[in-house]
Amino acid sequence: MPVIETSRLVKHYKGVQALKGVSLSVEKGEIYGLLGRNGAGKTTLVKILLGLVHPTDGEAKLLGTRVGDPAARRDVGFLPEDHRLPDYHSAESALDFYGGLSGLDGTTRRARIPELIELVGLKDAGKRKVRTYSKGMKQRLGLAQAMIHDPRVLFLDEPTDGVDPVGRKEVRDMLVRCKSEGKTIFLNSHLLSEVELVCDRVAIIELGEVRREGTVKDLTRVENVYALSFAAPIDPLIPELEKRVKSLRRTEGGIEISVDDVTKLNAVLDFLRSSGMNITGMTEKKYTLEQVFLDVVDRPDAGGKVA
Amino acid sequence: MAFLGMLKDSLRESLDRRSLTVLLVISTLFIFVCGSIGYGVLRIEQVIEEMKGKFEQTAGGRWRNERIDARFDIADIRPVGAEPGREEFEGGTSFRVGAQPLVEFQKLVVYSLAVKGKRDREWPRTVPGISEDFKQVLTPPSTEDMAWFIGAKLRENNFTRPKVEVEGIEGDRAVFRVWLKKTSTAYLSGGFRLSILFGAWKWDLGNTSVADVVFSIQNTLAGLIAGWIGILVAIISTAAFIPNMIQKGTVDLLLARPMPRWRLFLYKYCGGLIFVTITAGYLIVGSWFVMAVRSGIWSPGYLAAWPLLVFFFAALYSVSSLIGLLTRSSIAAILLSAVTWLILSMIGSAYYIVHMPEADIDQDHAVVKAVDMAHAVLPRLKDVDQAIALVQLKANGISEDHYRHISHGGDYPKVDWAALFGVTGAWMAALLALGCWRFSRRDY
Repeated sequence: MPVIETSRLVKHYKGVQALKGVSLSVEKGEIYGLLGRNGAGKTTLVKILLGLVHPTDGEAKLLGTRVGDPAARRDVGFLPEDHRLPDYHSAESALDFYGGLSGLDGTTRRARIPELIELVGLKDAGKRKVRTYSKGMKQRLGLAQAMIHDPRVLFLDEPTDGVDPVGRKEVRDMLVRCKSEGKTIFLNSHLLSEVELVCDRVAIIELGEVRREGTVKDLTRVENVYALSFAAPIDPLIPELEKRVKSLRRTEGGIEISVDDVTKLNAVLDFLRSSGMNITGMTEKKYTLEQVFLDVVDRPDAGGKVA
Repeated sequence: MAFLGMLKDSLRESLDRRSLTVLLVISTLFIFVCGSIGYGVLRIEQVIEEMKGKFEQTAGGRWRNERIDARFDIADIRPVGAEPGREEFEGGTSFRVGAQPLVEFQKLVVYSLAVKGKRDREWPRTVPGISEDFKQVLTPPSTEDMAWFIGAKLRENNFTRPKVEVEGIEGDRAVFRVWLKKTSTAYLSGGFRLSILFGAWKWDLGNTSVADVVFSIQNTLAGLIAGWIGILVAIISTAAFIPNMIQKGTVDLLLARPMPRWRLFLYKYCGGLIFVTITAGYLIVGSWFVMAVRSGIWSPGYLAAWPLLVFFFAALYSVSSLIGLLTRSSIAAILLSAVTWLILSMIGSAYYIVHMPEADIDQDHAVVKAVDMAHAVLPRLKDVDQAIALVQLKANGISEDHYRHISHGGDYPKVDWAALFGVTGAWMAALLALGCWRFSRRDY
C-alpha cells in the first residue's frame, strides 16, 4: 500500500487552476522530491495532503486514510516553508506544545525533547526564546517539531532554507538516517543538487501538472549518448565515423556520439580499434537534475513519466 | 492533553506580552488596599441605641416627614437566654420600644403605609386617614400596623426577621417588645469608624453597616474595576490570540496535527478565557479573603462574581474570536467586540429605563416594543452587572428594604437567570459554532 497516494487531484482558487489532476504515489521508505517553479502547485499539493487546503476534485490518501480526516495526520510530521513558530516559546516549550498536540503523553515528551534538541544542534539554546534565534536555528527547531512524535511520514518544505553548508550536510544525513529507519519523506526543495543527492524519486510539477516523474538516475540519464576520449587525434576517422552514428560532436580531447543502441555502439568501438585508435575513456552522457528541470519548465510540451 | 497544551500556550502568550503580569500586579494593589481597610467593631447594644433616632423617619425611605413629630425610646436591652417559647431567639437580643405621643406615632404609621413601595419623590403631601393639616388622625392604625412599622424600620436597618410584639398602650404611649435573632453587628446599620491604609485615613460613618460598606467596595471592584476596566483590558489583551494562531506559517504547524480544526478553534477560545479566569479569580478571591479577615464577613456571594465575570467575558470573547477569525485582524476584533458591548449595554439600559415606573411611558409604544424585542433575543450582558450585585446583596444579608433605604430608593436588582444564561449562552454557542464551521471550511 502506498504511503502517499493522489488520484486526479484538482484544486481551483478563484479562477486559478492550481492543480490539474495530479496523480502520484510514494512508497514506504522512499525519499520523494517534488520540484517546480514558484506557483507551480507544489505547496498546494502538500497542503492538500496535510488537510490545510480542501481539494476541488480528486482523491488523496495518507497511510491509507483519506486526507482531511485528522487520523490521516497521526503519523505525519510537517515542516512548512516560511514557518513561524510562536516567538514566546523556547525550543523546549515549543516541542512540548507541538508534541502534546500530536498526541504524545508527558512522559514521552520529556524523554524525546532533549534527544531532539541535541539532534538538531540546539542543545545550548533549548531554553532561549525563539525570538532570539537565527533563521537557521528556527529551521532546525522546525525540523525538530516535525519529528517530535516520531512520525512515519515527513513532509519537508525547503528544510535547508537558511541553514549553513555544514548544517545542510547534517540535515541530509538526518534524512538518510530517517529513510534507513523506514520513514517516508516528501521533500519540496529548490536546491536541485540537494534533491539529487538524497531523493530516490522525483516529480517535476509545472502549471499544476506532474510533467516528469522517476528516479534521479532515470531522469538525468540521456539514452545512448556517449563521450569518448583518445590517445591520438581522431580527426582522420571522423568522416567514416559520421556514417556509423546518429550524430557526432567534437569535444575537448574527444567526441560525443549518439547511437541507436548498444550494438551500434559496439560496432563503432570495433571500428575504432580496428583503425588502430587507442580509446582512453568512455562515459555515458548524463544531464544534471537542473538541466532536466529547466528543460521541463522551459518547454511546456516536455513531459512524461520515466519508469 | 491537547486541551491543556493549548491553555498553557495561551497562558504563555499572555505572560510574554506582560498584559497578564500587569493585571496581576494591579490586582495585587487593589487587594492590598482592600486589606488595609479597617472596620470599627460595634456592640449590639450600640446599634440598638442608634435605632432610637431612626424610628422617627417614615418607613419606606430615609427622610422623616417634617409635619409628624413622633418620638421613640429604647429600654430594657437584654440578651435572650433559654426561654420557653423563645428558642429561635436564644443567643439573640430583646428590647422594648416606646413611641409617643400616640397620635403622632399613629400619623407616622398611616403615612408610612401610604408611601409603602413608593419612591421618595412620589410621596404625597397628604394621605387618606390623616387630616390635610396633619393635626388629626382620621383612621387610626391597628396594633398590627403599628407593629409592622417597628418591624419595617428594623428591616430597613438590616435586622433580619425581627419579631415585634405589642405590649400595650400606656396612656399616650405605645410600647412594643422586639426579639432579635443572634446576628453579627457587621450586618446592622450603626455608626462605625472606617479606616484605610491601616489607619492612615479614618472616617466616622453613620447609618450604615459594615456589610453595606463591604458590599459597596466589592460591588465596585467586581462591577466597575473588573467588570468594565478589567474586561476591556482582557478584550484588548486577548484579541490577537486567534489572528496570531491563523497567521501564515503558524496555522500550518497546528493544522498538520491529528486534531479536528473545530477543536483547535475552541481550545484557543478557551485559552483566551483562562486570561480572565486567572485575573478575575485572583482579584475576587484575594480581595474577598482580605476583606473577610478584616471585616468578619465571610459570606461567599462576592465569589460568585468570578464565574459571572468569566461568563461575561466569554460572551464578548466569542464575538472577538469570530471577528478575529474572519478578518485576521486584532484591531477589528477589539473594535467590533467593544461596539457589540456598547450596543448590548445600551439595549439593556434602555430596557430598564422604559420599564421604570416613574418613566411613565406607554408600554404599547413601538419603541418600547422594539426595545423589549431586542432585549428578549440579544445577549443579556447588562444583566450580568445586576447578577453580580444581586448575588452579593443576598449573600451579604442585605434585604430589599435595607437596600432601598441605603440606595435612596433604588431598585433591588432583579435577574432572570434562565434568560441570562439561556439567551446569552445560545448566542455564544451560535457564534462559536459559526467560527468552528468557518475555520473548518477555509483553506490555509
